[in-house]
Amino acid sequence: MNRILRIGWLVGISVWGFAAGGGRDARALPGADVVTAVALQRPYAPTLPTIYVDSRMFTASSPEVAEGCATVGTHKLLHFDFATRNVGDGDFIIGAVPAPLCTGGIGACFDSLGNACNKAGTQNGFFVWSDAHCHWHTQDFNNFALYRSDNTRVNTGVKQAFCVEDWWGWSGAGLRYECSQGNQEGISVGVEDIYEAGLSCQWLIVDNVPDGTYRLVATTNVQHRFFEERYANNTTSYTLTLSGSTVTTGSPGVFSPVSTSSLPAGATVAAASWGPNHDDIFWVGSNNQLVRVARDNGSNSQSSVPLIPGTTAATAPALISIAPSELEVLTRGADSKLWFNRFSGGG
Amino acid sequence: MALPATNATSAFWVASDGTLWEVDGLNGSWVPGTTQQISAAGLAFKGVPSVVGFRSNQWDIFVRSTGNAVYHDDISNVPVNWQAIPSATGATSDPIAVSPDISTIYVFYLTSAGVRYVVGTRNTVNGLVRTYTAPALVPTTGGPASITSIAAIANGHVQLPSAIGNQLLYVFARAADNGIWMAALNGSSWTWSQIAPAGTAGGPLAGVTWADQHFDVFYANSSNKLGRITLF
Repeated sequence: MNRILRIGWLVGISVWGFAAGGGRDARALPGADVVTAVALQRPYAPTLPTIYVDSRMFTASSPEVAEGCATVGTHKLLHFDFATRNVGDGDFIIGAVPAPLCTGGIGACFDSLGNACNKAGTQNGFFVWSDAHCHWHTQDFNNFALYRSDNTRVNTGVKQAFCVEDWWGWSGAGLRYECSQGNQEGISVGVEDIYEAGLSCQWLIVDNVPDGTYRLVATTNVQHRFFEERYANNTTSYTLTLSGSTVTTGSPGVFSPVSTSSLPAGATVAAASWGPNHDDIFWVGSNNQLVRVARDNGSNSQSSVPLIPGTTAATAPALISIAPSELEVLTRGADSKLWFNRFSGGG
Repeated sequence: MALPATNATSAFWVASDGTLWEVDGLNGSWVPGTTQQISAAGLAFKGVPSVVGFRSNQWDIFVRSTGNAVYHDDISNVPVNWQAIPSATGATSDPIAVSPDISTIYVFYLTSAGVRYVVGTRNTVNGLVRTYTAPALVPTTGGPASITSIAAIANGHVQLPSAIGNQLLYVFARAADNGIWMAALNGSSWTWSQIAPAGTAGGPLAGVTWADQHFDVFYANSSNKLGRITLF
């Protein structure tokens, strides 16, 4: 292990394990399952920061420039920890590590003549050489991106190469996989790999990103290149607030009162979404008619939804979207019958 | 008649005599003659059932008995098969079931000790849920002192298939002081956050996922207006 400083967010991977030979059905074998996490406080490094902002200057000779995770100049960087945890019951196996192109360590990587390595980006199968870390990375393994509250992306994100190895046995499991030659990259069952915020390239560039609340989204095994038991749990997100050179976390809620008429005291509301950026909320109004508020891309419209004339709602509604742009609402009428209304096309 | 709870094509409700009923829908209309009792003899339920869809003609329903135990049945092309979830007793609220991925169902319910939950695991072949974890308590540390009602959501829904299953799971709690709290599951640990101050809520909470990893919580507020908290 030649990495330094680790803490982390957590993401998980879940992979079916393959075994050489034997001719068994792969799905009968134990499955690896990796998940990701970001900015989690590691129990063994409780005093280290997990997420922070700083500024750094990069020159043409900076390995991070060759690596593609910075351009020449001074940049504002959002550093954060990232972890990939195997929560499955089989090892997550990347493969045998090729012979190194240079020797040294992080920030000090040299060729056989003692010159700066200058081989960043060299590919060998799905491995790509890192001058900054002086070892082979698994290409495009993780992706990081920052999103605004309206779900638009702030920047293009970073597809980060990753040296996948056992780093911390969160379940008490031992460590076996390493990035160095002669070993295999991978993550054992019950183990996680952690890239700490202090590592080179473990950042997003946030030049000119206005102060505000954002969501940092991290995904591991982005291209599903490595088979997993399931891929659906490979993404995690983390809400943060940027203010100048400080970043704070734990601001999960943004109040956005909805302008509507009054509800009966203590009314029960029902909510559903028939598509991205659409909310519908129903309740029984004071006249015992169903009231609907449709929120489309942030704007509200309110309407009253009568049942069959002469019938009023007796209980709070239930609401469901069964297909895109379809919404169904049910309620018990004052006549003790089940009443139903359907809205199609989002209208 | 209690409130119906719906899934894609059916509605369920508990009748005043404790029996549980179902009516089927198809392509947006309700199918005559499909109203049927699906509870078994000797079982009496109350409150609002909670339903999780799995695939066409197969879903899972959770409901509280009059004895405050949590029961489960998988509604599919097999006879009803009601099971008391082991040790899931003492419920002071109706159960709320959410499915953060295709293989697991979390079932939450309030007890005098706080929010408890069980995790059901789906058989990968037939989709049936037959095994549950023992009831666990969402740790109360850092959370509200007293909870009057809960809601729960997972990321993704039928409209957001790409988002389904990345295991973002949130429980929202209306505290006794009408503050609103959120417990977030990350890995195997829970973290409480207060997302609205005391005196905010005037009614029960409803959560909805409206985009990948974007959530809203709606409620009647203390001024009898519709309140909304956006989480992302």
